Amino acid sequence: MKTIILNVINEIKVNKGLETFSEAMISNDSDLRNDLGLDSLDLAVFTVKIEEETGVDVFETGIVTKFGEVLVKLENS
Amino acid sequence: MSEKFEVKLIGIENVEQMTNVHLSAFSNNLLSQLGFNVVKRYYEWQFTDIDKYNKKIYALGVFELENMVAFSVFGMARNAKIGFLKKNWSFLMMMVIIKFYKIKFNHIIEVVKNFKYFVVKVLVSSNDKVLRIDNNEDNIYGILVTACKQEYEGRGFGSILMRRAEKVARENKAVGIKLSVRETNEHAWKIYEALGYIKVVDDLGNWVGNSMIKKL
Repeated sequence: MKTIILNVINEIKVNKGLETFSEAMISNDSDLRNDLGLDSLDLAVFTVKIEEETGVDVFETGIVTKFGEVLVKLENS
Repeated sequence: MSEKFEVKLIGIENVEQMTNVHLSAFSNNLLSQLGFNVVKRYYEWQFTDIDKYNKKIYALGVFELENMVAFSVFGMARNAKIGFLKKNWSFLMMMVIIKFYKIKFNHIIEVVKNFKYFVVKVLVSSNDKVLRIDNNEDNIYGILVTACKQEYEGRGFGSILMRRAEKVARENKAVGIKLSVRETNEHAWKIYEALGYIKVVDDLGNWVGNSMIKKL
């Protein structure tokens, strides 16, 4: 699951011509906005892509802001 | 899960907080220029008059503790601003005269350019037409507004609210959901595109009425 989330984030980064993240650069405490640099458009793409990949709407039952929170949502679904 | 922010159903009791969010999100729009009481009346009208047509209006808010930071209003009615104009014509004219010094030049230009549209929509059409009650449109929902306080922008609250609205629309057997956005607000319509909305275009490929629609 961690790889799926990371791949989606990196796909967004690549499409914007930005540098990608390795697993070592990300922790569960990484904030999607402040640490991983996802803006509101990126977050829209992120939500849709994660749902396409996993069938889970990570924001359906609450607001998540950190990488680890997304991971928990996916693992518990 | 982040406990800092929470999404809740809201109603007429939240109108003052909605007004504050609106004034922050759309500080330059004409309604905002007319002041707190006009914006508040607009949202009160959404919860009361539109309901008279038995077309349920839903509203969701994002809260940081008890403080509303974003909201969305959606349901089976569209063209809310035109409906509001028609029902509150004299009140709005009075407010325009009182607050004339606050109205920006570009708003006057906009009203003049759209005068024909306003006359037809506001003065001539019936209330049903103004509100675009979609009895003939296969249950298509409309998003009337999505607003976020400026200092909370960039956190994806708009997307979260839109997707929740879509979920409610699906639960109510809607087959589509529609919204309108200014062409100049590229950031917003790109988000809507990312969420699966497509621009409504005519045969020549021109964007019609700044509308976007998503099949549910």
